[in-house]
Amino acid sequence: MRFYMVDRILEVQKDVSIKGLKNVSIVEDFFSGQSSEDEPELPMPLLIEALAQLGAWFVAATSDFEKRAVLLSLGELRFHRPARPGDQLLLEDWVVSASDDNAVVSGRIRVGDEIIMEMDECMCAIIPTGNLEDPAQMRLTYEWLTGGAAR
Amino acid sequence: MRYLLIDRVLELEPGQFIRAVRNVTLTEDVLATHFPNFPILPGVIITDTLTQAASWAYAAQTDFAVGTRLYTLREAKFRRYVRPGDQLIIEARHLRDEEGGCTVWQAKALVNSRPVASIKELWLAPRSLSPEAADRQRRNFRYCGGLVPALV
Repeated sequence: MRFYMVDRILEVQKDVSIKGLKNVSIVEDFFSGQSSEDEPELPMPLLIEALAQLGAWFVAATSDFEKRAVLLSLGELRFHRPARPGDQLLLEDWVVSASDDNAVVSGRIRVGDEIIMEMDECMCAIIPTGNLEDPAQMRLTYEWLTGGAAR
Repeated sequence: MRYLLIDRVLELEPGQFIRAVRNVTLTEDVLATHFPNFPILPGVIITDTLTQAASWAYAAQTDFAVGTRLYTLREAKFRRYVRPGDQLIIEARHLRDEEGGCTVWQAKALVNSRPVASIKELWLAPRSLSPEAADRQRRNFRYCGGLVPALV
């Protein structure tokens, strides 16, 4: 399994915001039948992961893949309803503050016009990409996440 | 990937407190990509583990007939990297009940007695489960439990 909670990056506005997509499907490993829910639903905290990973893509894309973000703290999260197989999640993060060492973003997740989750002030440390993964590989992944053609 | 997040329950006071173990091993699927050069357990997976622990501690007082859904989270902090080989000790404690029906918990994860993650407030919304779902929850708890409280 790839623990990638962003399927597509739709829009990046440097220093401002990023939008992306996450498709929720019953084929995903999270729906392995062990849940005590009656209907399959994505575990709520994975919605946070989707917004946090989108934030990491934002940092990478706007630093030529030299930097990326790791999670430090979360302010407040409000969950309005779970995401279910078939939902297409529109992920949005916007920058609240940023320095060389850390960044704070807020975000939300919509399905169509319905807001299903809101996140206030997710703080990330900004660290060299190479500490965690290969920047060149990250750049390639970014290219296909943004719809770039295979070459 | 299995999506059960607790390996063993060490201590349980239904409705009040739970202490549990979660071992971190390099065979876990998420660690392949998180991250290729430096595997660490995602903070959000720790968050989910803490939520699960609190949820079970709550559910235990109803013989697992009631489940919960995460409603609000306030002030989570991730202090240290959690790496393969670490053994997380998970603790969740009931704080209060809210007027709207939510049960509010605080939770933390420790490695070698040092806190690696903490959540000031987890608001869980109780919801009744179908008999089948309650059975599933009871079975999951027993499977991970080791500790079988008198009321189960």
